[in-house]
Amino acid sequence: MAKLLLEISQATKYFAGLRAVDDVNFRVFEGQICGLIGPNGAGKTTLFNIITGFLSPTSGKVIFNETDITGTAPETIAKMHLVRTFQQTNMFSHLTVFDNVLTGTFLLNRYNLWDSIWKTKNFRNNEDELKKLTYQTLRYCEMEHLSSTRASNLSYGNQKKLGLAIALATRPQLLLLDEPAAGLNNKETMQMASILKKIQKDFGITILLVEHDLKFVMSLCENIVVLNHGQKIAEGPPNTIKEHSKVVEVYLGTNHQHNSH
Amino acid sequence: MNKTNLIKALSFLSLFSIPLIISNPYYGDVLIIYCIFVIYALSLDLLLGYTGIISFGHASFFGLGAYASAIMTLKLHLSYWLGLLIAVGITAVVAFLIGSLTLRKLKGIYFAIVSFAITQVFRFLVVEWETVTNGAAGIASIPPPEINLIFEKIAFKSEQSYLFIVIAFVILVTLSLYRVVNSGLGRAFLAIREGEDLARSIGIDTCKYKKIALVISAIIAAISGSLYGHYISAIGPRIFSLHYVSLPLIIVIVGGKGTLLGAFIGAALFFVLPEFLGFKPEMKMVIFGLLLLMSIIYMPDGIASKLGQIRDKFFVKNGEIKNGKVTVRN
Amino acid sequence: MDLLLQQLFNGVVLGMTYGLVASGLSLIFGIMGVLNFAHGELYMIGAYITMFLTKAYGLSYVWGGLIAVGLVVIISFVLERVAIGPILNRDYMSPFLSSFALSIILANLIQYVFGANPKRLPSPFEIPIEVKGLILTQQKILIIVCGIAVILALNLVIKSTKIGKILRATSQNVTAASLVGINSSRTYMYAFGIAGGLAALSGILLAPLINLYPTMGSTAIIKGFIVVVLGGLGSISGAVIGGLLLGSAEVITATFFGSGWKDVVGYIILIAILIWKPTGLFGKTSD
Ligand SMILES: Nc1ncnc2c1ncn2[C@@H]1O[C@H](COP(=O)(O)OP(=O)(O)OP(=O)(O)O)[C@@H](O)[C@H]1O
Ligand SMILES: [Mg+2]
Repeated sequence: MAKLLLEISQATKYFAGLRAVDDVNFRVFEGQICGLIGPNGAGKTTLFNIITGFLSPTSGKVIFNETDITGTAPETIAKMHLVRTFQQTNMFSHLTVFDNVLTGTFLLNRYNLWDSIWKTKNFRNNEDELKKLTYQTLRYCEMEHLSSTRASNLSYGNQKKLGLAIALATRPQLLLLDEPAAGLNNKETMQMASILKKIQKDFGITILLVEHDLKFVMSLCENIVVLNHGQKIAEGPPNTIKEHSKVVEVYLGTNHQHNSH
Repeated sequence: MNKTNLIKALSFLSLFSIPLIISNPYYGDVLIIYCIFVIYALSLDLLLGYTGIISFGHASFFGLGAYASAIMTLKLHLSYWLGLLIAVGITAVVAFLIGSLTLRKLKGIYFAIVSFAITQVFRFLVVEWETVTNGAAGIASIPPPEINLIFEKIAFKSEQSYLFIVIAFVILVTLSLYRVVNSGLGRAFLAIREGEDLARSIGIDTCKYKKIALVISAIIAAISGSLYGHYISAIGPRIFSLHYVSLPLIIVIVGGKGTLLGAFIGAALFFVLPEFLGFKPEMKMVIFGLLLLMSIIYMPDGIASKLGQIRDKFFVKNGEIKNGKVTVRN
Repeated sequence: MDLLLQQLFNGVVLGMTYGLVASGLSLIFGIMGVLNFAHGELYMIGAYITMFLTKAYGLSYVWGGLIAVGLVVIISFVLERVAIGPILNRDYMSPFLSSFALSIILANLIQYVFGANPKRLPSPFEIPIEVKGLILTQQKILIIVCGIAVILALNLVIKSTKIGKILRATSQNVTAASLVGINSSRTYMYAFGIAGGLAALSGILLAPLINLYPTMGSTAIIKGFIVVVLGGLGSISGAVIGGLLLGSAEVITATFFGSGWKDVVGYIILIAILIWKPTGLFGKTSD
C-alpha cells in the first residue's frame, strides 16, 4: 500500500448555521489521482479552503505528511508542498505567461536581498535554474508558444492551464485542483486530462481534484469521494461510484440539477 | 568585466559630468530638486506600483528622514553620513512598526487613510516636541554634507557639488531597486499586487513581504527626505502636509506606476518642464491635478508603460522564445 | 462647570457640521463604494461661492447660500459624470485616486482665483444670545437645527421616497437593481449631487464661525474620514453620531490639554479604530 499523504478527519465548517462541510473523513495516498465530486454548493471548494488553510474548520483535523496542518496559514502549507488552484481563474493578470510561472517558483529562491542587488554568482545560477524550470513547466503544459503573452489576453482554456502551470512551478507534492476542466471545450478537456496524467507519472505528484465533468473524473481518478450537502455520501473507485445508489440519486434525481458552469 | 558591463559603467560615470557641464546655479537647483524627488517617487513606486499598496502617508518617512538627519547633524553634531545612516535606521524601524500594526488588517483605502492619519500624528509630534524639533518654527541652518579628507574638509555647499551627491544617490537607488524588482523579491511584490490569495497559495507570506516593501520604501523615502532637508537647509512641520503626500503620488501615477522609469518621467514633467513654462504655483497644481485625473481615467498605466508598449513592438519581449531559447530581459 | 457646559455646546455645534460633511461622504460610500476625497472641496466651494455672491452681487447670506448649494449640486453632477462614473467598475483604487485628483484641482483653482489669504463670510445670525449663562449665537443654533432637519429629511427621503428606494436598491445590489430597470449610473449621479449639496450646506453654515481658506476642504475631509470610520462607513445616522462624538472629544481635549491637541485626538481615534475594528464602531460586520 502506498504511503498515506493527506488525511481529513471529521472536518466540519459552519457558515452562520449553514453546514457547508459536515463531518467529512477521507484519505489520499501518495501517487494517486483522487476525485472530489458533488452537486453545486456541496462544499467541495470549502473543503479545499480548509485543507489549504484559507479557512479554518469549525472542528476536525487535516493531517498532511504526518503533520497536523489544521488552521495553518496558506503560505506555510504551500511551503510544505501542498498547493492548490482556484475555481475562478486565478493568475497574475498584468504579467506575461512566463513571468506568471516564474513567480510560481518563489519557494525555490535560494538567494537573499544582498545577492540580488550585487547579482552574485549564487543569484545568477539560481535565477537561471528557475527560468529553466519555468520554461520546462510551460512546455509541460503546452504553452511555451504563449510565454510572452499577457495573461489577461489568454483564452479561457489557456488561463485554466496557466493556473495549473503556476501551481506546478512550485514543485508540489500534493496538488489540489478546483475544477481544472470547467468551461473547457472537448479538445481542451482531453488535453488537460493528458497533462494531469503526465504530471502524476513523471513527477510523482499526487492530485486531488474537484470536477463536475464526470467522464473526466471517471477516466482519471482511482478513488472518488462524493459530497452532498456537506456530507460524504460515497467513496470508492469509479466503477463502484457509478453504480452507487445514493450517487445516482443525487446526480439523476429530480430535485437536483447538475449543471456545470 | 565584459564589454556590455564596461559600457554600462561608463554611461553611469558619464552622468557625473552633468554637474560639470551645468554651471548655472539655477539649472543646478532645478536638477537637484528633480533628483531628490525622483528618489522620493521611486520609493513610492515600489509600494504603489509594484506591491499595490496605496500610501497617503509617505510624507511620514520623507519627513522623518529629513528631521532625524537634521537633528543628528545639528544637535548631536554628527557627520552628515552618520546622521543619514541613523535617520535611515530610525525610519526603517518606524516603518516596520507601522507595517506590523496596520498591514495585516488594513487593505486598500483603509490603509491609505490610516497612513495619512499617521503622517498627521508625526506632524503633531514635531510641533509639540519643541526641545528637539523647534516646534512649529522648524529647523533652520541645516549644514550641508561634508567629506573629511586628511588635508581639508570639503563641504557640498554649492549647487554644483550637491548635484554630485544627489546624482550618486539616484544611481544607487535606481540600480538597487531595479535589481530588487527583477528578483524573486520583486516577483513576490508583484504577486501581492496582482492577487493576494494566489500569492499565498504559492507560498508567499503576503503580510511579511508587504512589510518588507514598506520598510525598503521607507528607507529610500528617508534618504530623499534627508537630502532635501540638507539641501534647502530649513525644514518645518509642513513637510508632513498633504502637499508632500501628493507630490510622489502625482509623479508616479502620471509617469507610470510599476515601471521605475515612470518616476523619472513624472518628476521631469513636474519639476523641470514648468521651469520653462513659468506657471504660477497654483496654476501648476491645477494643471497637474488635471494631468493626474486624465492619467487615471485614460492612461492608468502612465506614460512609461506607453513607452514600454512601443519598445515591445520593436524589441523581443521578456519570456519570448527565439531560436529555441527563452529570452530574458535583464 | 459652566465653562465645560459651554465647551460641550460648542463641541455639539462643531460635531453637527462634521456630521453634515460626513453624512454625504457616507452616503456616497454606501451607494457607490467610493470614498470621495473631493468631498471636502465641495464643502469649501459652497462657502466660497456664497462669499462671492454676497460680495459681488450683494445677495443676502441666505439667498447666496441657497444658490451656492444649487450650484454645488450641479458641479457634483458634472464631477461624477466626468471623473468617477467612467472608472467606477475598474478597481476600488481608481475612483479614490481620481477624487483625490479632483480635490487637488479644486483647491488650487480656488486659491488661484481668490488667493491664499483667509476670507470672511459674515452672517446676519451672529447675534449672541445668553441662556442660563450659556453664550449661544443664532448661527450656532441654526447649525444644530439645520443639522437635525437635514438628517431627518435625508433619512425620510431614503426610507420612503421613490428616489430613496432606488438609492437603497442600488446600494444593496447593483445587478439586481439594474434588472428591475434601475439605471444605476443615473442613481450614482443623484447620490453625488445630494452629497455635494450636503457638503456645501455644511460649509456655508460653518463658514461664518471660521475663516475661509482654500485648504479648508482637506481639513474637513480628514475630519469626515474620522467621523465615518467612527460611525461606520455607509451609515448616515452613524455619521451624525460619529460627528457629535468627534466634536465633543475635540473640544474636551482642547480644554484639558490645549488647543494643539485638538486635531490629533481624531487621528488617534481613527488609527485605533481602524486597527482594532476596521468596520467602525457602529458599522456592519459584512465584508
Ligand atoms: N464564505 C462563505 N460564507 C458563507 N457561506 C459560504 C461561504 N463559502 C461558501 N459558502 C456556502 O457554503 C456552501 C458550499 O459552498 P462551496 O463553494 O464549498 O460549494 P462547491 O461544492 O464548491 O460548489 P460549486 O460546485 O458550485 O463550486 C454553499 O452553500 C455556499 O453558499
Ligand atoms: Mg466550488
